[in-house]
Amino acid sequence: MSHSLLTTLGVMGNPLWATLVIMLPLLAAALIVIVGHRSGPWFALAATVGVLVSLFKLAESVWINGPQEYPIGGWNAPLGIQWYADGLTVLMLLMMAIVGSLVTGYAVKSFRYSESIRFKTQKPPATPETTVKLLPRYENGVSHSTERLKYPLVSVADPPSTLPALVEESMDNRASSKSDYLLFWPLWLLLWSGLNGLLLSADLLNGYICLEIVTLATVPLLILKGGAMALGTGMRYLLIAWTASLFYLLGLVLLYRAFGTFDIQLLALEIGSGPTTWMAILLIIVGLLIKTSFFPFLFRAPAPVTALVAALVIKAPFYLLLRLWFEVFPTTVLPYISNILGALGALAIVWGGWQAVQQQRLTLLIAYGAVAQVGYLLLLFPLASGITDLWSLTAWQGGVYFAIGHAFAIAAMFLVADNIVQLLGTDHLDKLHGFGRIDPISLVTFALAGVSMMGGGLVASGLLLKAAWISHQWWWIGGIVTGGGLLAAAYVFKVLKPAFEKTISYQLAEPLPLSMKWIPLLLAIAAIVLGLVTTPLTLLEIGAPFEYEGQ
Amino acid sequence: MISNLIFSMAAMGLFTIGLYIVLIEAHLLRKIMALNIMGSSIFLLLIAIAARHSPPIDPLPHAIVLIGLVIMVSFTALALRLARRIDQETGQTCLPKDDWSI
Repeated sequence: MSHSLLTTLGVMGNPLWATLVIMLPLLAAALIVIVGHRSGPWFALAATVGVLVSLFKLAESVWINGPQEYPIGGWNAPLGIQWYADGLTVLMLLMMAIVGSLVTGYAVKSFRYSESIRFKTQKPPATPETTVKLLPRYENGVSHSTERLKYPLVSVADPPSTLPALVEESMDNRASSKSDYLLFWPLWLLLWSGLNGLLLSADLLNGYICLEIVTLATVPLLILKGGAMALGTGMRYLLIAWTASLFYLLGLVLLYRAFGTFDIQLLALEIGSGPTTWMAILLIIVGLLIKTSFFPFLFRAPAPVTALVAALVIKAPFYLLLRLWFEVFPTTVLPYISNILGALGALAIVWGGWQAVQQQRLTLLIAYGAVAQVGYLLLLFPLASGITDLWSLTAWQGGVYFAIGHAFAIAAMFLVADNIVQLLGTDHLDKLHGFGRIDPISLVTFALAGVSMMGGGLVASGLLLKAAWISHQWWWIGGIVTGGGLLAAAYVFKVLKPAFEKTISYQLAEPLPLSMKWIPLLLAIAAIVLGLVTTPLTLLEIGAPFEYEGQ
Repeated sequence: MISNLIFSMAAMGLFTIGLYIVLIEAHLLRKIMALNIMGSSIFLLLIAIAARHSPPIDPLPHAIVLIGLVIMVSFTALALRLARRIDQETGQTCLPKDDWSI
């Protein structure tokens, strides 16, 4: 006996485009390994072009024919695995493709730049303020050394030979082999393929497998930099993601025990309330929430990797949660849990914003700000859980639209923060004076990305606020959204204020290559544009689990 | 049936024990083993599920166990290699302390 809303059954279409979307990055990754790692960026470019073309075709077919269903191999559920593409799927696939291609375009020049900064040695200035700090050696049979020579920032009047530099010798002393991060390319393609597979899957177990592929591809990406800190981040991410996956799997197994299927649409028909369902829902939500909220600290991983993880990898478990919440979970269960999720989201927004305002360092500020942004994603659930109410539809649209704009804004924010810190050699906010005169484009990018973080995209937060207002029970969420926006304004202006000043107090390390300046700007502009334009929302209506007027 | 019940309860007990160890223990190898225990407990539960309507045994959970085994082996291999690298770089077998420096 089903209590949940029945999903619109899809039309069986040509599976070519959906297949290409998943297989092209995978093939490209395999070809990179065969042909040689030097060809990485070229295969990535080819795969990007191919996937974008296929996505365009897939979006076209979804737009014309409605939600698409592809039984793979001709075998239907419950034994076969089905792929399902509707408006939400296509929008998220496009988000992954566009943000992914822009960030990897940034990565092409960024790796070389950051490594040249790291390993450039400068003659130490002969001033008494020079401080040289050496960390202890680790005796382990092999002599490792970490040496960190940190120069004070010198004034602009000094001759160029005393340019400040942040020099750090890596543990293995393999400076030149690291300067290209060649393994990034096959790993990114694998990650992308896993993300696409997850977005297209209509079978929860297939979703689990793709989630594991995503984790297995993310962990090596996180440790590309080498060194104890990066390894620690990678290990932490692996352990936490693995634990969360096991929660999710246990929840799936309990659902199978009770209802006998993994397919989303069949499960939506079969599911009913009961202690097994409660337990399974609890486990699944906990597992997916843990995965949605964990991203690495800036500078532990190369900047493009941090941007990709915080913008895209986080959306994968969020998408699964969306699908499960709105299409599978019985509606009798939802109101209780949605309160908890709303409270968690509100807590994240307020706590993250408050902590961010108090930071003196740019990297920590951005990190807490990103935590607050993830809280916005959770607010979608309480607002949209009254499935048959009008404001639920508004809230669902607003939440999904926010998730998509958030990817662009967070990617831009992480990339530009990395730019700023690479240029300055430090991330203390009081060294930011006059930064706008040194690199105005990065400053504009930061400002635009900050505006997106403040408003969450005007359309998206407008929809959320409207939904919160119409439904009289969720007015406090409207307050949280506004308060979160104010806090975001506070910490963004905290960075912008010194940067707009006229007096510069230091000199650059090395000017940024063009792509590193303009690509984050493109991302930030896209985030703003997504906050103003509503055409993608019409794509979202296809296959949405709500009653639209006139449908 | 009683063996079904025993397997299911044992699976849940193992899952909880594994979760406790992952959270409490600092040694990386123990965390990895605890995660393996958790994974194996889910497989045990799946085997118990396969026999829930006793005479025709459901083959689908067996296939899922195989999928899960592949995933678990991959994760364990990656985690063990990472733990080995951490041991080589820092001389310790616990998660490196992060001091938030850049």
